[in-house]
Amino acid sequence: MPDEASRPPPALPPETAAAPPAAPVTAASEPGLPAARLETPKRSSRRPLVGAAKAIFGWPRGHWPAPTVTVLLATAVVVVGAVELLPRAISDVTLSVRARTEVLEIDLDPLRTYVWWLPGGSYSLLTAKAGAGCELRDRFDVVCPYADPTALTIKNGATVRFEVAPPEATGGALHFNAAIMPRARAAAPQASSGGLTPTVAAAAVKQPEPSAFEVRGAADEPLLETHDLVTFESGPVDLWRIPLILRRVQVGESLSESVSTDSLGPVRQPIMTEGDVRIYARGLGSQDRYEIQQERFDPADVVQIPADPADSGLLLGVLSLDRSDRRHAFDVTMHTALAEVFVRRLGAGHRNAGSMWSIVSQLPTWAALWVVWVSLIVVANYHAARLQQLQGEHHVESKPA
Amino acid sequence: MATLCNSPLRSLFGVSLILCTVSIGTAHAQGRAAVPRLAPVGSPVEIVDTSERISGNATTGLVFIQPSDKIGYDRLWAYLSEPVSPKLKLKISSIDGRYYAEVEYATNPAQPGWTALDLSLHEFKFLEQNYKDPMSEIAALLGDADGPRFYPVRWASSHDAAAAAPDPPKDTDPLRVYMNTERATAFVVVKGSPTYCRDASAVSGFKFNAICDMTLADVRNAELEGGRHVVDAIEVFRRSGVRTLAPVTVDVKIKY
Repeated sequence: MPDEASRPPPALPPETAAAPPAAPVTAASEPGLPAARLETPKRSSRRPLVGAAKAIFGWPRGHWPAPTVTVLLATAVVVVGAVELLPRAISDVTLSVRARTEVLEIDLDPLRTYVWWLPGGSYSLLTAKAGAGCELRDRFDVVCPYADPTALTIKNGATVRFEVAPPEATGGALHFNAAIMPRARAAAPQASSGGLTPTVAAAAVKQPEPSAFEVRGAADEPLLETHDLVTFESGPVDLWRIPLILRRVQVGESLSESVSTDSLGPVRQPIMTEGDVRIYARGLGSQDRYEIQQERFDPADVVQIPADPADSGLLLGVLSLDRSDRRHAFDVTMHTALAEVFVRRLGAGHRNAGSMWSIVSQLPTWAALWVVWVSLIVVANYHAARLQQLQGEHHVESKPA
Repeated sequence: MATLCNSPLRSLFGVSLILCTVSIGTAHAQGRAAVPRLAPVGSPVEIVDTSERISGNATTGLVFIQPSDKIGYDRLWAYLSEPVSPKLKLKISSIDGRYYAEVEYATNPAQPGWTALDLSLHEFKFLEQNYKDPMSEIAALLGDADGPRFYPVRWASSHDAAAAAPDPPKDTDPLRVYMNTERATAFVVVKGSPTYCRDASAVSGFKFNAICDMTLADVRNAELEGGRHVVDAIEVFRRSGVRTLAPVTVDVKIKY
């Protein structure tokens, strides 16, 4: 850069002005003054850029890579911004949801076979094969009461809705209802979007096997078999629990202002009463898992996992109902490697996923990095001030008496 | 010189422009004249951005759905089958109750088949801007103004662009019923088996919560009018827990 050397230096910031004594600033600048007057407009337009580069990097006067305060601060800003772009997978994020809820809807994994023991109660079906002790009350209305516990086998997936019966309807005893809805059939026009696209129709046709439900007694004797909607109303329950292995869950239900009472009798809208989500991560390169974020849910919130219905993952947990806690609500706990929940509130909704900031900021190495960084800024600032002082003294000495 | 040259050119251009405008206007008028059309009677009622209550167990929409269909203020067509009431009322509801409109039409003389419905709604843009999946989130219901009967509608091609009405319905055409079942599980019976309606709403304050999809053949009554294609009612069954609720009958007559 010979021409750069011949040009007058722009006003240097304190840290860049702190040049080594071998290259005195005044000596280089004075012969360059006439040349500056003859500069073309193009060159003069480049000067602010050069000035900015010098201010930031101390370049090209040989200061680089000596860190300046500006460089350190700029790098810190870039690092802070870039942390959020790191993929969450590197920290192995998981979340746990606990909730007290009067209603719960789950999608079962179609590749698993579920066997749930249900307490004594009454099954109601639209259609049924066999059906010992069943009564056909009307078209699409078969009722099968069983006093003893029964085993319900579910194959090829289903959507199940559990709801605690209101205590006023059961004389204070603890009862619950379950509605087991088969997966959509191939023949049925689909579903997820407004238009009936050929792709969606083809996807529906590829659906493997229709859902199958089977009820057996305590001695493993077959009682019922159906492919259609099954509803169940339990008798009084003391303690009941089942493991949950799911594809999707919705805890709670939105309150509706459009429900009338004409045919359903007294309307009680079940809700989630309380709950929270805790998000965990693993330290980079470490086996330790630590909590990075927590959110408490409000009554009547609706929690959906996965947050995006298109996502796929597995949720594991426990669903239980205990008369002794006197809350008339299910106790549900679930764990998943899906890193995001969607919380729907009346009139709004939000997603909650552990941010990379919350993950990284709790690492000890991250704290150490910041200590080093701040120390560097302090040291750089000290040296800049000191060199500026030296430069000032040099100016005074070099002035002719 | 340039002025002299430009003068005849300008007049030629003017004449051709007039001819072109006249021919486009004629074609446009022919297109408009080719399809029967109903204009609103009186001022439409339009309520935007409030939450409207609705009684439960009510049908809120009856719409033919084709993959290419999309909503538009000039895209709504009604398929009328005799006997047509002299006065019809169209109701448009969004799923969350933030939009509701009522438009009345006089049908004298009755014109069976596809009829373009002029909407003349000032706030229709609200629907176009606020709903990502309008075919699932916006229900249109055309019925007798003073009776329970409904007529299916369709968001087809623009009235102005259409040289002709949509094709006549056929057995395989999908038909969608939008219904407020008060969260009861709903299903229609197709070939003797239940076909479940899907949940339409996850939000509170919904206008309708169930969408029941079927084809015309699924609900066609082959015993009526000597085997002519007629749909005379659509029965929607409902279950709430272990209770069977009374089915809701959509009073409709579609001859095709």
